[in-house]
Amino acid sequence: MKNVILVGFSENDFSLLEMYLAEKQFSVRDLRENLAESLSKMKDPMIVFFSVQSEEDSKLLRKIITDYPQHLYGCTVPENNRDLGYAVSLLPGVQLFFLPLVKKEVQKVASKLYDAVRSINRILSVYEGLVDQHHHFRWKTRDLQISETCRFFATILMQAGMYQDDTQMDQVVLALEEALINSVEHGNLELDSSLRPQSLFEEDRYEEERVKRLGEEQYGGRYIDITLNITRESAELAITNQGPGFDTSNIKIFDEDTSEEEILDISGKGGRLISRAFDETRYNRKGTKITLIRRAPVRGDIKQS
Amino acid sequence: MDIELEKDGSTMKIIIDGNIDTDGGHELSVQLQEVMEMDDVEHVIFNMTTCRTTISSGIGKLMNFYKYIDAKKGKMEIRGISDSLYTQFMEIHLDRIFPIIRE
Repeated sequence: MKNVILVGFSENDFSLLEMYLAEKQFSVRDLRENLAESLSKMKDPMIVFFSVQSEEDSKLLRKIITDYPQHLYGCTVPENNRDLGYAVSLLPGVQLFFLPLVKKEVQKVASKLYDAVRSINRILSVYEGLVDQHHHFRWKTRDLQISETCRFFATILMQAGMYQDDTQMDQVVLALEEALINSVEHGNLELDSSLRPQSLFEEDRYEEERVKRLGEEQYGGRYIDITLNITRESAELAITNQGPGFDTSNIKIFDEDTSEEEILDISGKGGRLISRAFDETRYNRKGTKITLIRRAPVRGDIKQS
Repeated sequence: MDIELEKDGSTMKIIIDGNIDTDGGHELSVQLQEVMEMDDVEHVIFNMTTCRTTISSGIGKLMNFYKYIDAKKGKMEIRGISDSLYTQFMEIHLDRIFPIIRE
């Protein structure tokens, strides 16, 4: 019997769903608090079907999208919450409904959940369904949440089957963080690495200047654009900043000939970390755009669950 | 990310639990400065078994700390490191600077 967690539904809607799902041999629970703890304890495959009614629900759903996307099979969001609906729609295979639900839709919700369970190999099913997806995001630098944004895109890439191994998620997030931090700090904020303290006793002028420039419109008001283009064969993620650019020929390569002095240099290692998760890295001539390319694994190599 | 310090005479064990991201890097700075204020510490052992990745500025902070220890003729090593972090450090040849031991 499959466990279904319903979060955020009204008593009436919960009862209706419970009734329909019980016919389909689902065990239904209503959980709001300690969702993370419950998810970590359950061993059976689960479906978390989420209903967004309040701002708190919205925050919890965003956390599920970033941290537990593999458990999210369906979602209802208010019609006017465009960005949240869009975020959910980027997760292939997740059924999206708009509130308020009508009675017939409750039946549809239950039916969709049942269909979703039958498709047990999510990676292969995503890969099968993916044709072409192009997405463009834009933030002002001072509004950008780097870690959460990188985790969001890494999740999409994992969901799209670009990586076979879930343990690669950390590497992907790290690579994206390196690329995005460089674009923000050296690009839009025009921070020079020479400001970094050469010892831990020195005042961190780099950090002070970073915070200061984020608050200034001429720096913090600049935009970061991220475009993501996914096909069956590959994913291309490009990060563009509005800074002055840099000389891309200065990017360090770590090989057998790297000197101890270069290794001891406190900066310049980001490029290597990026190349661990992506097959190719390209810069535009001006140095204001980095494109990260990942080639999809061959279909025969995809894990079957 | 959490950092624990365990001092035994002139040896300081620094246990880093969790990945070093932008927030973690700041916490790492604070803790390393605290260790640097202890004049009697000569040998520092990092345990990074549960740290899977670090951003490059985190590596920079470890480099600065190494320079401090080296300048006072002390020793620094990593004893216990996750597989993914070990791979990350090997790719930038950090093992040429200080010992990195998998346990």
